[in-house]
Amino acid sequence: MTTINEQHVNPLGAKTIVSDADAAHRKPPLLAVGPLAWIKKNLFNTVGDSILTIVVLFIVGSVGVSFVTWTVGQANWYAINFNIRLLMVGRYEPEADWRVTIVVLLTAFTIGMALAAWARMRLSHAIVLGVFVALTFIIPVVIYATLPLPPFYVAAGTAKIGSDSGPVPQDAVAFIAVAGETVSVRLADQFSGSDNKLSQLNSFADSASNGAMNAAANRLETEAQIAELTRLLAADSLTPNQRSRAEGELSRLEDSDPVVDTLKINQTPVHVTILQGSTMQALPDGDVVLTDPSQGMTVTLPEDGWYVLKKEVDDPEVIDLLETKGIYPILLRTITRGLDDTSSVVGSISQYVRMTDTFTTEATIPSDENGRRMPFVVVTSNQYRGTASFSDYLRLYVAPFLNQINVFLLVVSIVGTLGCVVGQLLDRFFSPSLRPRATSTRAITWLLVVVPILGFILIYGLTGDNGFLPITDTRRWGGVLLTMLLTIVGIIGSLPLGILLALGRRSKMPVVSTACTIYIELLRGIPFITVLFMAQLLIPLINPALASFPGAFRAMIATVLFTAAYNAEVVRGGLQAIPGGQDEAAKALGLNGLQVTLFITLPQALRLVIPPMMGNFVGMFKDTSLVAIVGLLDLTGMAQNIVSQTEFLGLRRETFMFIAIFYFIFSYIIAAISRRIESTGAGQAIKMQI
Amino acid sequence: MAETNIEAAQSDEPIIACKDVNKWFGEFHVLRDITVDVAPQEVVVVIGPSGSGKSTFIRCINRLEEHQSGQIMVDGIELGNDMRNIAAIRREIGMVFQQFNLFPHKTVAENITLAPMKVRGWSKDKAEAKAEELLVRVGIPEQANKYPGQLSGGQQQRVAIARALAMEPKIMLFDEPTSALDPEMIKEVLDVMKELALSGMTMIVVTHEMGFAREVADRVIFFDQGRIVEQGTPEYFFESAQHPRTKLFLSQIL
Amino acid sequence: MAYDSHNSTGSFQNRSLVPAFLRDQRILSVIGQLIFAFVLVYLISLLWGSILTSLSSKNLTPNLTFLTNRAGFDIGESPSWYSSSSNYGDAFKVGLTNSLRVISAGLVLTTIVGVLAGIFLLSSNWLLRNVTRGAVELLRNTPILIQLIFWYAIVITSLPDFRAPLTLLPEGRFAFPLHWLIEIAVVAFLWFGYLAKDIIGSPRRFFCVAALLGGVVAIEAGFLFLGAAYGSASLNSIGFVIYAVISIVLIALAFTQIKNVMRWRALGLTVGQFVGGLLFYFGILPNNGFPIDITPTIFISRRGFAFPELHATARFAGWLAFVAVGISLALILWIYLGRLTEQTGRAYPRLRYSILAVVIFSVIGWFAVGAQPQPSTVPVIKDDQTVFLSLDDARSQGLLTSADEDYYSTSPIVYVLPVQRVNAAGIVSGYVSGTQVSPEYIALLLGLVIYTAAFIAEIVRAGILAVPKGQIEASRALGFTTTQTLWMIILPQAMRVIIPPLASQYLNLAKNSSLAIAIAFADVVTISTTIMNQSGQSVSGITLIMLTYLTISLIIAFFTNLANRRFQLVTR
Repeated sequence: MTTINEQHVNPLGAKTIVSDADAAHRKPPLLAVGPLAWIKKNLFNTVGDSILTIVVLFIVGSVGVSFVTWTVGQANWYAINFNIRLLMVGRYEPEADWRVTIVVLLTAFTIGMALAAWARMRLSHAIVLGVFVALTFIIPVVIYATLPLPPFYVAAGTAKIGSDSGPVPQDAVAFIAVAGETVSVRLADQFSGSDNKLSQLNSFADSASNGAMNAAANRLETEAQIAELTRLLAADSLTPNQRSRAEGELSRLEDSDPVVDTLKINQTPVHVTILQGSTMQALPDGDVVLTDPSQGMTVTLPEDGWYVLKKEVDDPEVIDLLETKGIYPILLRTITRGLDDTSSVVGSISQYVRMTDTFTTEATIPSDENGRRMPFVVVTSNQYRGTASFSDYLRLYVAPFLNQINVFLLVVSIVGTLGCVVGQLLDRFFSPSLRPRATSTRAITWLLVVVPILGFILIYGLTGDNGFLPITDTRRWGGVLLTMLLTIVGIIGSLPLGILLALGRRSKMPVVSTACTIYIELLRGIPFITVLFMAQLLIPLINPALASFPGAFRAMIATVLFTAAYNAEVVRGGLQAIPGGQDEAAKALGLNGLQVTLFITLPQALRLVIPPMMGNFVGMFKDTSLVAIVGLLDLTGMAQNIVSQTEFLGLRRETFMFIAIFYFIFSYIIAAISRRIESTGAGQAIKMQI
Repeated sequence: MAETNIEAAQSDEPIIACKDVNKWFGEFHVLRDITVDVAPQEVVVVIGPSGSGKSTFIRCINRLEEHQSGQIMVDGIELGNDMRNIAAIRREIGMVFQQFNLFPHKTVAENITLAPMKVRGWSKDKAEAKAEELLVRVGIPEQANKYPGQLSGGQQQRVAIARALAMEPKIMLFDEPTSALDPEMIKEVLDVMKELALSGMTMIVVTHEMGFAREVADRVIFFDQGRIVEQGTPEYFFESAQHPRTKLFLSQIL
Repeated sequence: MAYDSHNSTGSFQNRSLVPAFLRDQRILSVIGQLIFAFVLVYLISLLWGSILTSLSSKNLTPNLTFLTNRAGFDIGESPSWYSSSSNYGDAFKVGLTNSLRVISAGLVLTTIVGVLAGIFLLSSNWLLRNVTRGAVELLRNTPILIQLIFWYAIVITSLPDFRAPLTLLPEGRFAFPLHWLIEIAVVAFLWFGYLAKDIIGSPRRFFCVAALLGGVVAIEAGFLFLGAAYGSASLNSIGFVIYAVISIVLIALAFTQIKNVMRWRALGLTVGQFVGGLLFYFGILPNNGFPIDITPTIFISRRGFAFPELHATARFAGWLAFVAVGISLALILWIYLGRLTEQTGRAYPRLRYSILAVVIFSVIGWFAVGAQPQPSTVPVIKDDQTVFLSLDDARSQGLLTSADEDYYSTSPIVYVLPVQRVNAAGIVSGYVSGTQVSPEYIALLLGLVIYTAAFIAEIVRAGILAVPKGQIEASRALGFTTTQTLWMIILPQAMRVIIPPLASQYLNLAKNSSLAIAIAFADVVTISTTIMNQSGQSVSGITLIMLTYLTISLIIAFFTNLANRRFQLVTR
């Protein structure tokens, strides 16, 4: 549809064209839109870009793979599973647990209502939450039903394993079990004369069998080292320096016979007996002589409590390796509490906890006729040997963990949802139509004031020892409980103080503004740890009576004083951003100075500074970890405390990984909310008004 | 070789030749089969409703946007992915933006001399002499040592024109140069542009100033929905435009 | 009097019972301030008084004389002049030095890492951008204390034992394969001789790049798969057949697909690749190239790092004079060429000439100083007697101390590589030479640098994004290159937004260095805490720490304020 109008040819020869503007839009070329275009544009735009993509992919991939391998295969997460309570509430009095529960539920309710008031919650959110919580129940059940526990290897015999100082198998091992469980014992494989299979047994093992497996692994490693050194020395790839070192090393290494052969594993019969711990009598069917791997013994246990597995081998030069199911390492822990339900006598009680679940017994360890206490397999020496398979990882760590938290999650989710629903109902029935969220907003404002105070009273206590809500021992506060208390007290205390300081600094009275400026700049110029030290060292000096002032409270004071200085600067920034016209208009209306500040400038400034203020609070939340340095057992302090106990030595990575994730989730959520406020909602609206 | 090319271009070849230029923003077809030739010393005014692709079109000419199909030849050089060609073409095209885009951390004189010195490799003296001359030409010789933040909008836009001219371009592109200005400042900028057109500069101007188009343009091009709907001499365009869209647009704007 | 009458006439004021002067804003303000000051002073004196009383009851009145008391503790990371018999003041000085070491190195490194990460956050590469984003979020949202513990107790402890440290460069005998050399030469020749001149995107160019890569890959693959057998390879090997087929296809493509004069170059190159590959394949050209022995310069183990150390010898001062002349000449050149460029507009590479001047004078100086003859005999102590021996004899008999070596060296600077101390049994027990850095220092530095860099990255990103897009478009329209745009347009404007928050991150880094105490690095706080615990002088100790950090903060703030002023915009 092109018309050429000959009358209007312009002097430069360009023709007047009237073309059809309604022609259909054409599709862009294939590589301009769609996923391929996206990939080309974002990942492979230029040669350099492609190289970058591949390099980053390689780095991320290798880090990711090694992280997952470690998480599943190497990590021992039982330090978390055993210590969830410590990490959450520290050594808080168990009798007062209900108070913490109530506070948590109140908080969940408040958060639920806050979501109703400030966010757009839909049914789909509740469904996602429900599915997530349901999964924490379903996953453990599925895992328990489908995945068996790994076997437990026990050595029998009297030969020393490895060097002369190596472990010797025990003649008996005590274990705890629940009534109705079965224990099966059979000879492990003969490993066909090679160390490979022995060294790759990944499961629980007692120290002797662990020693045998390690000896096999070491021998294989030495063999490989010798081969490698020989290869290197044969080739021309070493500097003279390296060559002399390699030669020295080679001369120190010596080849030895396979461990399987020297220990003659599983080449003689072993006499296995399972005794009931209370009576030290063999169970019926619990007395067998095992001669080869095809033959096994299975015993059903009659009652909860201790049992003993005895194993005897005639030949003194031989080690027999037994593969058992139903016997697992035990953690011995000592707790302090009332000795029985009625008396108030406090004493130490030994608890034996099975590693694979939380089955606990307080019965005494069985002893034999000579009064010798039976040895039992402790977690200290035997966690999980070798690289765990994915199913072992799920069965040993994931399922028990989920089992410990799922009820809590369920209750919290229900109460949170309830809060949300209540908020929405309040709005439906009571809010004016012009401001549909007025009621819930007002309710949440009250809750935000009341819940922290009520929560603090509940957790700390109200009256002396025997009254209603007895005062708890602050030294026993710990874990997340203490971290959260520090944070919330810090926020509530530092906000008003910060506002006062900001107003003071902006005051026209030189004495006041100088004093406030000095305070703010002094506190901002020194590290938080100094303030903490000051609070710990100086408060007892003020008055001898304050020597017993709890460390947790001292840390709270330090947090409030320190954060207030930073809050003051943020609030001052907000006050400066309020245009002078607001102040003038208010004065023109006849408000006095105080009224102008209280009703006009300050409310605007505070709304304006919500995002940076939240940033300050995230910083403070992270900084509460510093109280660990002055000896408080907050989440960080508790983690340090746990990994210094013998049972959990060497589990620092797991523990710190866990608490790091905890800190990350909390501060990331707060930071994300503050970003959202800044970019959309309130912050933007206010910016536009100004 | 380059010299002879320029000679040839000035005689009869178009200095800008666009053939079947197409561009998409995602799925949106912004420029559709644009075919335009601009002769040396021609003043072309591009008009059209907002979102019609007229700004995108002139931004394609110095590769601030890349076109996805078709061919754009500027001064005998094809615009493609070759960095050297892009650099060579940008040296020959000056551009003036709606929002001035002066460098706020440089003085007016520095704004003007920076590109000639760093891109053309002129001496400082030469660049400063040129800046002085251009500031006189745009009528603000006394502002040389101020910062852009200290000038009014109209003054800033005149500095921006001087900055573009300092590179001694063969072509000038104006992207709605008066849209961000207060009414009383529009005239001072338009005067500078008229003077420039009379001096024989090749210009493509995107504007809503119909008076300017009528007075100065050699040709008016009307864009709508990414197409050239109609083009012609100002007399033809403003008096006997034929396409209904053009008529509608003109009736709204005049 | 006049005021009185005035007051009595005003009915408005009459209603007030408060005397007039109490309604004067200025007087009220003064009174208010007086009360405020009084309360403040009273509270402080109350606190201070009770602290003083309880301290003096323990005979611990705050003072600074305790600083001269004997410290009695060792410091892991201390200079040679410090021992446990030094006094508290010395110990404090050691702590201060250590703090400053960490802070100064940290500020430099964190800026580099942070800016780099900030640029990554703006990368057009989706993967790089989002991976960096993830890392930044992770680092910003976990406590620095946990990160420090992570670096110290987890990363550093999983480094190898110091008996078998990681080495940089990796120790060993390395051969640079000859076929790599030839490949590089071929690629470079093809690239600069032909490809760089061709138009990007032309089919010919695509073909050439493909042929080039194909040839290199063919040779590399041949070596990879036949590496063991090569040299004695036979023509019926399947690998050889594949290689030959690929090469012939390449040659055929070059012959048929490339037109005019370029065809012969491409053909020559593909055939050259093929023939080159054949030569390697049959072992006519050696694979192994030139073996080079590499001695490690940096040792990395869980006991810390060992770096090379630099000694200035007796001839250092003489050499320094030459360098000084070189630098002054460079300065003159810099200024002169700068003027010349301004006058003529011709670009003189003044940076290149200036560097050249410094390098030439340094080299000349090095040889001139080294040309001085060494003494023919030197006094050394042998069997408790001073004897004169020639330098070579003394050295071969092992009579020269390291100070002697420095004194008699012909070069002005001696560069000593770290060397492991190996005992007779071949077991490593430390280092003979080299500068050592403790694992605590490394962990603290890493922790501070990476934590702060995550914040700086975000600041840099925000700063660059704050530069209006129009600025970049304008500079592109004026013909500036990407680099010129970055340095002349974007960065100067971004700095204005970046510097204030950057300054506060610098302050944070300095303050966070006090967390050294968590990993037992001997910084100001760690040492002061020890001093406070030993001497009981807690008030003085805390005051010292506070003064130290306030001073450091003030210094950092001073410099960042200077920088800030430099980048402010002038507006109406």
